Amino acid sequence: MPHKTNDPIVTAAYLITNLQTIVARSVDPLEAAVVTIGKIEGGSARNIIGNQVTLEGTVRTYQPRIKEKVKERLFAIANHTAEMYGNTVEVEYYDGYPATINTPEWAKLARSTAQKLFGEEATPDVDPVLAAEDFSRFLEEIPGAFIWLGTRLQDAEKQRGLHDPRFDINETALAKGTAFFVQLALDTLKELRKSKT
Amino acid sequence: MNLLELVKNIESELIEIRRHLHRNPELSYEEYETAKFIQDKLRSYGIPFKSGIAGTGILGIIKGKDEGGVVALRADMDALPIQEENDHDFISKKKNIMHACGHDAHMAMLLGAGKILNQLRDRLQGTVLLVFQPAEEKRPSAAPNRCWRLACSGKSSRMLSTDSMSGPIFPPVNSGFAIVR
Repeated sequence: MPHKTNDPIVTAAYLITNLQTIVARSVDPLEAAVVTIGKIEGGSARNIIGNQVTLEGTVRTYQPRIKEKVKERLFAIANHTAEMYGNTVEVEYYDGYPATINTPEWAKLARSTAQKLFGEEATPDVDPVLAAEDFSRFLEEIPGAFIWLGTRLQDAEKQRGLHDPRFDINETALAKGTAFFVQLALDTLKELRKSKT
Repeated sequence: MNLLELVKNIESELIEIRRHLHRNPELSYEEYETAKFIQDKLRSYGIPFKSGIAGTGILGIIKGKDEGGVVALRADMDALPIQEENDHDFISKKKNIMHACGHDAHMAMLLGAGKILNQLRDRLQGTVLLVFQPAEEKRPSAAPNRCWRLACSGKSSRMLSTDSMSGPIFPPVNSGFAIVR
């Protein structure tokens, strides 16, 4: 009988909603944070109350202390929401990559290489974004830079974002990116030699 | 020598490589065919390499005539568990696997850059490493660290002067524009 169950699907629905308050109410609005549930799995048929729901998601922040705060709230909200509806929850949390932050010196070189090849306007300024990228693991060990290469399609209507089933790139970027890679390698080696002498 | 002209000469090959990889995507740590394809290309360019790094990773090594620093260029290899819905003629052949994060293009560009840098190696003042890294999309993996440690084993004192660059893809910017912050 439905009233004799602790429906995990209803609990999961509240949990997802409650998690939205982390960014809205626990993080300083001037700091960057994202909490996303990207996958939900549970139940087997419309008239059966399942016994388990699995949610998967990702946490992204710029500052390590904000990450700790988000993590702490995530565990608390998950445990208490489950308890509220007579369910239990198990949280597996993997600490992800740190933010990808370029070494200023090499970011500067990459910028000048791009301008040399493609002109002054070729390196527009952007604000930091919360895309996840494990290049930060390289940057923990060695100085370097992570560079975005523009690939916007000619037909703006067709442009989709990364991870979209219709994502595509403008293939004219391939030759440009290749030239950029080559010049960047040459310029970096030249700079390394200069700094040694 | 004009670099843009050199690259123009291999543009059709770059597109061909990217489309081949796009048709044949593989998930994180399962980049077997991808790795084999990259090794075949490196072999045909005459670039020495080490394979099996952090699983399916590959390290191409281009030594210049002169001693000098080391610079590493990196491309990631894996695709995503997404069913492609594009209608171009190089759509993914695999159900629920798609290069939807531009890694096909990253690999194509790194191979192209390697080919040209290898042709220019008499002018290189140091070493260029081509790092093909598996499993970028995988939730926290040790792949980058392992790639790096193996790439630099035995070069501890030189490592500090080493620099790494990457060329991922970011759609909202015009082709050829680079964003560095």
